[in-house]
Amino acid sequence: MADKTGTPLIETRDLKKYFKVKKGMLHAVDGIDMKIMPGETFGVVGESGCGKSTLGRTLIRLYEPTGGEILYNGQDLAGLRGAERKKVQLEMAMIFQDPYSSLNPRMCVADLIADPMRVNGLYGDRDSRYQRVAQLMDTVGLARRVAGSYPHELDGGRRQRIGIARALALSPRFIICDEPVSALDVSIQAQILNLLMDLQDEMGLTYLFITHDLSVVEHISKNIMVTYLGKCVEMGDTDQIFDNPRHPYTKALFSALPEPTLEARYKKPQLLTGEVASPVNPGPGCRFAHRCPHATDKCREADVPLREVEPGHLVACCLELQ
Amino acid sequence: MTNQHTEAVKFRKVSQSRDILRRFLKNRPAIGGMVILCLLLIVFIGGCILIPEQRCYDISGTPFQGPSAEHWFGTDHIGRDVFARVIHGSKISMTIGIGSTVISVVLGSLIGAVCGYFGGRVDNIIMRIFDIIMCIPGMLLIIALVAALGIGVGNLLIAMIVSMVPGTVRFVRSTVLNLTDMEYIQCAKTYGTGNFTIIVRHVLPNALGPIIILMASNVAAAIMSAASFSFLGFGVQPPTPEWGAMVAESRQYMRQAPHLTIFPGLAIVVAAMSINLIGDGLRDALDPRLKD
Repeated sequence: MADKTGTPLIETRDLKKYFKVKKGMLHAVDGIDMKIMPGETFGVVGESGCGKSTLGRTLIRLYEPTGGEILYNGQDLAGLRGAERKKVQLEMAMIFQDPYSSLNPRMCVADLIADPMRVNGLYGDRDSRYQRVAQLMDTVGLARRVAGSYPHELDGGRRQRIGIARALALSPRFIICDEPVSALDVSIQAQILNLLMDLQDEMGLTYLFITHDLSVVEHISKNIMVTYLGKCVEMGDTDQIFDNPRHPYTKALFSALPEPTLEARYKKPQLLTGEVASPVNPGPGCRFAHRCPHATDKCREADVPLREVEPGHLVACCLELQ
Repeated sequence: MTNQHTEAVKFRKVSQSRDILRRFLKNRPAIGGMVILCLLLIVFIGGCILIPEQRCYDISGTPFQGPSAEHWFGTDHIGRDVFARVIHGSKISMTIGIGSTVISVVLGSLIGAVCGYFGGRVDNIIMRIFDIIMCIPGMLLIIALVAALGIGVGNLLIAMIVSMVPGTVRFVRSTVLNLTDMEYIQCAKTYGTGNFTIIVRHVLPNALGPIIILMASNVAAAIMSAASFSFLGFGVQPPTPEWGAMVAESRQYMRQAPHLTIFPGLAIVVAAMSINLIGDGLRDALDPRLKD
C-alpha cells in the first residue's frame, strides 16, 4: 500500500490453507496478500466461515499453510528452524474468542498466566515468575486477590483479561486477536477494547484483529481487510473503506449496520439474498458472483485480482473497471 | 510489596490441596466409604498379624459349624476356621483387585491419551490392535494367557492387566477426544508447549474425574474376576485362602451352611462398595468447577 514504508512486521504472500474434507478441498484461506506494519492494528472482517480464524491460526502456525509465504520482519517463517523459529514464535501470541474454553479449568489464574513462561523456562524461577504475573495482572486490570481463583469463578470480562495477560506474558510484538470481544457483553466489550488499545500505546504492540463486528473494527483498526470465502475482496484504510466502500459485498455489509440517525429510518437496507457458497472446491470467478446483484458473465469467468482504486485502497471487483 | 504478593500467591497454591481435602470431607458417602475401608484394613492387617496363618489350614474343627465364640464365622466343609480364612484371604484378593486396576488404568490412560490426542494413523493402528484383543472374550483371553505363562497368582495378575487395558484405553481415548478441541489446548500450542507437556498438564488432569470413577468400579470387578479364575483353578490354588475361591468352594453347601458363602461374599461387597464411594467423592473433590 502506498502509505506503507519500511519492513512490515507481518507479510503474507499468496497464503493458502486448504483442508481435506470428504468432498474435496475446503479452501479456508485462498491466496491472501497482506502487510501489517509494526504498531498498527489490522482488522479482518467477514461473516462466519469465511476463513478469518483460519488465517490467524495459520499465521501463528497452529496450521501449516498449504501454500504461500509468511514473512515475519522480512524473514520467511518456513525457512526458520530450531532456535530462530522458537524466537519468532515467542514474539507472537494469540487471544482466543471464547474466554470459557480457552482457559484450563484446572489451573488457577496465576498459573494460567505463568504457564507460557514456565513452558519456555523464561523469567527465572517460580517466585520471579509469580512476580511478573502480579505485574501483568496489574497491567490488564485484574485484582491481585483473584490470583488463586479458578477461571469458572470469574465473569467473562475477567476471564478475557486473563487471556490477555497470558498473551502478554512473553512480551510479544505481534498479537492475533481472534474475535476477543464477541463472546462478551457490550459494556465489557468496550472495556476490553480500550484495554487492548492502551496496551498497544504502552508497548507498541501490533494486532491482527479478527472480528465480524464492524463497529468494533472501525473503533480499533487502522487498516481493514474484508474477506469473503477465503479471499480478500477489499482492503484499505479504515476511513477509506467506511466512507467509500467499493465492493458490492462490503457495501452490503455496511448497509446492515444500524445507523443511529432519524433519516436512516427511511433508508432501505440493501439486503443480500441466498447463502454463502460452499468453500469446498470453489469454481473460478469472483466468489461473491452468485449473490452479487450486479454480477455479469465476466465475473464468473476468471478470478478477479485486487486492483488499487485509490492510493492504498484495493478492491477485487470487475465492476470497478467501468 | 511484590514479595508480599509472591507469598500471597504461594499461599493460595497451598490452599488448593486443602480445598480438595475440605470438599472431600464434606462428602458424607465418601467419608462413610473411607471409614469402612479403614476399618476393613485395620481388621485385615491386624488379623493377619494376630491370627497365625496356620489356622487357615487347620482341619481339626468339626465341619459345618455355625458362628460361635471359638469360630467367629463358623467352620467350612472340612472344619477350617472361616474367619481366619477371610482375614488371610484379604491379602491376595485386595492385592489382585487393587494392583491390576491401578496398573491397567495407568497404562491405559497413557496409551488412551496419546491415541486421542494425536489421532491419525498411530491412533488407528493402536486402536485396531486393542479391538482385536477385545474381540476375544475376556474369560478366554485370561485363561489362554495363564495357560501360556503358567498357573500362579503373578501370571493371573499379568493376564488380568492385559485384558483390562483395552477397555481403559477406549474409555480414556473418548474422554480425551472431547478435550483436544478445547481452545486452551490450542492456546498452549501457540506458546510452544510440547505435546507431552500438553498431555500431562492439560489433557490428563481434565480427564481425571472419569478415570477415577473407572478405577473405583474396576477394583470391584477385578476382585470378582480374580475370584472366578481362582475358582477355575487358574490363580490361587487351594488350600490357599482367597475370597472368591472360598465363595466358589462353598457354593454347593449354600443351603446347609449359608455362612460359608455369606462371609467371604460380604467381604467382597463391603470392600468394593467402600472403594466405589471413595472414588465418587474423590472425583467431586478434584473438580474445581464443582466447588460448593
